Amino acid sequence: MIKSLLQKEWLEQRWKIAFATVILAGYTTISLRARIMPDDQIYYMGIIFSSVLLPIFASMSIVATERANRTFNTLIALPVSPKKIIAAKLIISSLIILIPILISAILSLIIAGNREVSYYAFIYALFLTISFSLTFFLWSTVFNIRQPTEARAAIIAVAVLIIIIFIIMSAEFYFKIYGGPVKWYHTFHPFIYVMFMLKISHSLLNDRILATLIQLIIAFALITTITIRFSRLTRGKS
Amino acid sequence: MKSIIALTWKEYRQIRWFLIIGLAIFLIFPLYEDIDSYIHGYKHSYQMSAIMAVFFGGIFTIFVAVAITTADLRTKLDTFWLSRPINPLKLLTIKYIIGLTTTLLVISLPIIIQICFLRVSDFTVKPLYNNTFTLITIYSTAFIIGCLARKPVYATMLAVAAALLIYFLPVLIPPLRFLCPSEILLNDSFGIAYVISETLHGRTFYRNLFLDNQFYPYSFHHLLNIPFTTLTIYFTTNWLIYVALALASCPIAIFLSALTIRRNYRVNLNQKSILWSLGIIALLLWSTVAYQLGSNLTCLRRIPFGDEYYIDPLAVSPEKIAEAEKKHQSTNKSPGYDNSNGAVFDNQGRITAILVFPPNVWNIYCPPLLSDTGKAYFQYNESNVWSFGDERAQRSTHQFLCSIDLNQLPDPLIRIDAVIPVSVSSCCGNCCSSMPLLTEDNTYTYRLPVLWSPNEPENFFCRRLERNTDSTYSLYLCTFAISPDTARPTIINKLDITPYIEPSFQHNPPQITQGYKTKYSSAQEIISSSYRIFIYNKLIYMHYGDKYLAIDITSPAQPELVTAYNYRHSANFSETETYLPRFGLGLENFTLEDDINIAINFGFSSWPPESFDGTHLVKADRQGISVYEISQITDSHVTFTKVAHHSITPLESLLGTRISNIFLRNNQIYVSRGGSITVFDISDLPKIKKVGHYSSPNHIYNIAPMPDGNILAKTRHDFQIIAPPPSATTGHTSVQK
Repeated sequence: MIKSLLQKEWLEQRWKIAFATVILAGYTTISLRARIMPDDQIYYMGIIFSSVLLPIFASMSIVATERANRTFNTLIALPVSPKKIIAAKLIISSLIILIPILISAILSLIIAGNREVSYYAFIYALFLTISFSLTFFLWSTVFNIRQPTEARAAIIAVAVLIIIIFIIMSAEFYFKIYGGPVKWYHTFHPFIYVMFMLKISHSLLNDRILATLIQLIIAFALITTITIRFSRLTRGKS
Repeated sequence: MKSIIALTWKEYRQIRWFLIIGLAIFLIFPLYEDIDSYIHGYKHSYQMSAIMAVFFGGIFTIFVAVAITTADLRTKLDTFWLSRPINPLKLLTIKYIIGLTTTLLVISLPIIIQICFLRVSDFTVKPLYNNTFTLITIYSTAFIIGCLARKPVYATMLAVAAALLIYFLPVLIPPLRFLCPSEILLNDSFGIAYVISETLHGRTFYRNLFLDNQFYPYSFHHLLNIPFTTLTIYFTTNWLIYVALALASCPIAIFLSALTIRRNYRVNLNQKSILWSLGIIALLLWSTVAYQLGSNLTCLRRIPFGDEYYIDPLAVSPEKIAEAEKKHQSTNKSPGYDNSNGAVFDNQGRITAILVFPPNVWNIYCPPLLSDTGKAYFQYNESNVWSFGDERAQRSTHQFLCSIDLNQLPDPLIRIDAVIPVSVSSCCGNCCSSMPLLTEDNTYTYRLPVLWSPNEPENFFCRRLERNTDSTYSLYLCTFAISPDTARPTIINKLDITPYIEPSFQHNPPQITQGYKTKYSSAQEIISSSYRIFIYNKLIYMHYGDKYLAIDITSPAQPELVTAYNYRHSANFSETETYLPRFGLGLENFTLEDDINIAINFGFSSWPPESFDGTHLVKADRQGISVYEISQITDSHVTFTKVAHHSITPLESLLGTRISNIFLRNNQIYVSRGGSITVFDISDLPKIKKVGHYSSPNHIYNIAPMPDGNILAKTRHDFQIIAPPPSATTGHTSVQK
């Protein structure tokens, strides 16, 4: 049954994957071929696009599309557990993030591999981009999974981003003045991968591994929350 | 009347959350900046509100316009509203006004608050009278789209696509540049209003209205006691067209929206078609940008020299690359102090010699001289005590020359060959380059480069300005001879070149010094930079004002003026600055109020850059490059006529800084600007054709032609050797006398 669910989601979402891939790959190819900017700046812009827009794009259509098209009740009436439904949705929605990023990365390596940015730096940035995108995707989904329309879901995702940035800025501001366990705080917040990329925090490898493990635990907690919220939605609880 | 009030109240109730949340967002970030600056005592200009307005104003405007239209036009609701006894035109007009007021309030209020209570920069003020009208256009467009699409998400996406076109189409299509938001925002010539400064010799010079939070008319009237009648406020034509089009969009939007509702026009869109349209528009715009700015020149080789080096002017010979090099700030010195060394690279990028200068040295920004005899000459300064703002500190600066024999490089490659003090002047901190103080012998000594001919290394030449007893100034070309015993220079000849030059004086209108409320006006003499004076074949060529001087130095003790070339052009004139001719400066003829203290500062400028190949003179200005051709030669004059001009595109203007360096070779102009090099072909004048472009990963500080035809570019981290366009041929064009 899960295979059928995955196929259904794939058929519904594939145009979004194609769209995101064409845009991201098109941007990367045009920029790297024309050498319109230094390679690292092209990658940075691609990373911003991948890390911010793709998660919003992916999270807005998990349940909201079903509710807007009035197919949600039909879906939950199927003899499948809500966990399997949401798992299928999360897997295919993750592909909206993963496939465009990976295809763009392959094109980038073919066009400009090791040209100005080393293979190591490129793959490291790719890993961090994917990690952050998926993390932000989960954070957005936790809050917008119950929204009835895609517009509201997208607005909630943007609001989540703004609130996270605001909390981080306030915390940084607080720690700058009063001091505190900055490293531990960094370990927990969703922008840790961005901080890795910008080399702001966690210079030691062990610290980075620890932070990644904690983020994995947080991701597991987020997925559990999403599943619970979705299950409650299927039972008609607000 | 009642219905208008009722509708207004209804629209306000519908949109109030946008007002509250919008104000919260647009006020929080400026507030954060204000508190952060207050706590840390930063004294910079506040501009966060302007940044928010410029970067997020557009998207907020779209949200408001779409929300206010689609709220009542969604399925079923539109039928309800059309059944009411209300004219749709009235309803839409009120909707339009309430939405626009909300938008402008949210975006402008934080800016107005920062302007009223804090020190702000020009950038903070400009969005009020420039960006606002772009937002009105976007609002009108989004309003129509909202009425047509009637679904919030689709209308938003379509409006974003339209806003992208409004923002970027004028950037990409040069004829539409007067509608370009970035050009309007950043370019002074598109400003709202100017106040006349002076009318001199039939030419009017303008000054921008705003400066550092000081409203000029207020400053003139209240603090300088100048009546308002002497001021005239101008609106540039481009700005008026831009504003008229923006304002015209308001009634058009209302009319079209009403028509849409009456006739029940609607665009049936789905998510897929909207997103694909948006994506294709974005890709098309990006492709156009790539076409305009993409590189077609290739970098043949990179010569990295490490992060610890900072390379300044460079000179190129067939086998050597010489440059003055400045190391990073050392930790045990006073703030602002750098250790300087001179280094010589070979063409493979290896450092072949390092000149360790004495302590307390900072280099002068002058290309080193590579002689045919294998010597390299460096010029640098030494400051005995380097202390910013400390009046008690001893202040003296020495200029030095040193040379190194490239054919006999020592091992381990560290050497000081000669240290020759040139002159002593009193100076204060980093203002030395622009504001030298009067020395004891009433002589202004500049940190101008000396001229040192490779063939006559025992003599060198330096310009020197002296104040005469009648408070006038004279400029001399001094010949120095170096004593072989003491290595100290003595002046053996002074050639007065004052009668042959007519330097420009830049006049700055009265300004109010922050905190002190003092009034002053200043005039600054623009003196040729080091890049405009050179020795070639026993002749010194000197560019001064609108003249070139040629001085024969066959006999160094008796230099002789051969000729003075005169050329006419407009490149020296800037739209926002006033220049007074030397003889009009007169402290006696100064036309401003008597109680204004006049300070005369002397400085030199290395900008705008220019290049001359014997036939064509290429000169850069803020708008682009101009090509001048010798049209007439007499015994005493050469007249240059402007034959072509190439304006930089709005996109280049948006992305790059001003032109930093330029050279002309084989009818091709090589221009470095920001992180790019552009090559223009001028073989078919007056057409200037772009034939090559190179985008560097790093900012390009300098470019130089290499003997093999390639281009040497210097960035912060490396040398880059770039292949010229295929049409270029190798070899130098000799300078014609």
